[in-house]
Amino acid sequence: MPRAQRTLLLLALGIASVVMLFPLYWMVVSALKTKRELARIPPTIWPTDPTWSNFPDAWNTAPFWRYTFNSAVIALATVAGVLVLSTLAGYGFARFRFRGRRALFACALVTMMIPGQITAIPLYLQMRDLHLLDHPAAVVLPALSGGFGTFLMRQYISSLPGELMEAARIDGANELRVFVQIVVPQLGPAVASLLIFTFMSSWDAFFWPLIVLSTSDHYTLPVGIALFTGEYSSNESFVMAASAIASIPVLIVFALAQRRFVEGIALTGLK
Amino acid sequence: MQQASTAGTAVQRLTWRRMRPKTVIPYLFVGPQLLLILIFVVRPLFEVARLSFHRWILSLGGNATYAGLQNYRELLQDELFRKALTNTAIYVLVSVPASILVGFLFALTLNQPLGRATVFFRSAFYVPVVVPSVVVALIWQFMLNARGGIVNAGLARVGLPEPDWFTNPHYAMLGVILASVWQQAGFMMVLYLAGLQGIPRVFHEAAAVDGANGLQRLIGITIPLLTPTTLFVCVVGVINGFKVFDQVYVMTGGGPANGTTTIVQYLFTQAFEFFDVGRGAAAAMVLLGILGLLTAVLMLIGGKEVEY
Repeated sequence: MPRAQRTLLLLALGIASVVMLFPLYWMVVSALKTKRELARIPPTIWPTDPTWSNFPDAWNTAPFWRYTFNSAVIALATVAGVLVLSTLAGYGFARFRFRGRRALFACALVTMMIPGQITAIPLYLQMRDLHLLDHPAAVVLPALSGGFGTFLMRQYISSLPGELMEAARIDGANELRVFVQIVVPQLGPAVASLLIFTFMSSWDAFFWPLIVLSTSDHYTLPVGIALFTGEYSSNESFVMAASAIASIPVLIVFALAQRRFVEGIALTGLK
Repeated sequence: MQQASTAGTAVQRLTWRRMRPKTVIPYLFVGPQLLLILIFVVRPLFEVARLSFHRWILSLGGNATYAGLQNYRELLQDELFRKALTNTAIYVLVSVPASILVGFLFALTLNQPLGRATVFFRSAFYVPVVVPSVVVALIWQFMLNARGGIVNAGLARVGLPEPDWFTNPHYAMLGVILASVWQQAGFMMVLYLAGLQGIPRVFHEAAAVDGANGLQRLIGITIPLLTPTTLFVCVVGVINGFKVFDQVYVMTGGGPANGTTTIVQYLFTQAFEFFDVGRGAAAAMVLLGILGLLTAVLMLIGGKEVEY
């Protein structure tokens, strides 16, 4: 590529990345401004007197500890549940032949395409009957009920060589032992992709938690922040500080595993 | 090599044969996941269809009573629902092509041999995808603030008019769309990058030898060969677009003057604020119908084009 063309492309990319990163920059910078500076028109691009106090202030105004804790508990339970369930099911579909295998797998795939918004009303009534409204389990259980993990695991396990499993069986290992000692240790990359995907969507979830969680003590971060900012919308430094706090965990996960993000999404095509 | 793969098939056959068809073991592996899907997806799916033919106001107590098509009739007569349909259609028609186009341009540029800098740019373009959507909505609401918001400050600086973003329905919709495009472009980019990497280099080399310039190669080779990717990106984009809720709920609450009320927002209000279960279920069924139809149409178009 000619040097001039290369420079031009890099310049265009540079401008584009400034535009794309600016909203995040603006969130952080605004969270660092004092109330007085934030009221200035036009706004200052860099805070003249950066202050950290908005973070503890926002943190203490609403029970953010509680929200973060709730989000973490729900995300942890969801991730653990999804990993166990879809590894088991993926192995079952990949390595056994049984009556109804194709139909059941197709069923799992079809449910993957049904948005939660469609089933929200009957699910709500179901949770009410199970006395699970306003309980973290009401958020976790539907999140465990998708076909995506099964699909991912089935594809991955099908690509593994079968010799090792067969050798273990000949040596007299039972099916559970083959699964735990031979299959599971080989699943590293698939587990990592599924873990990241599940964590991110759990942390981001808003619609369903907003419906089933009704007391502040049980809110997750997105629900807590959305309703908190409704009350404190006049104090924009607080809102931006709270937003920054809620973004930190996912940004850290992204920074640590960005390659896997991009690859995982390209493979599965799902967010 | 030949021998190894034959041995592999033999073992495979052995593995298959070992499975007696009557054994319960496979069901123990797939059972737990399928049971959850049955309880929390399949059953509610049938249930929402059933409820849409019933009259049931949850807050009034009592039980669901059969009402035939009444909910659907009311739905179609409801001015607000028609507005929600139009708003959602506008949102999808603008935000989906826009994010696809931006994502495509990002991918095309990043696919050039620019060295290690591309890793940084790819991350920069992708970061918005991982930010929680409630946070995305709050950031854009703050940036688009009519008084002292950074966007209007920028517009004023270059001498453009400063719109009242959240009191004018058209601008409010534009604001929601801006936030969505910012968040989704990186996602589209990644899918296109994967698609671009699947195009064999020889095609471009051959065309270059024949004297085709960059633009001709883009139109003649790259875009046609990316058809499967484009189709997939469209399906995912349209489905996600019709589900839009978070941004609207946080940024505008559906206002002003219901100018940004979407289908899911309508469903949410009917079912979980007015507790009109039947009406909400009917709205959900309409959404399901729209999604099914659009996916089928896109698949059909794609099926024809891919043969190309």
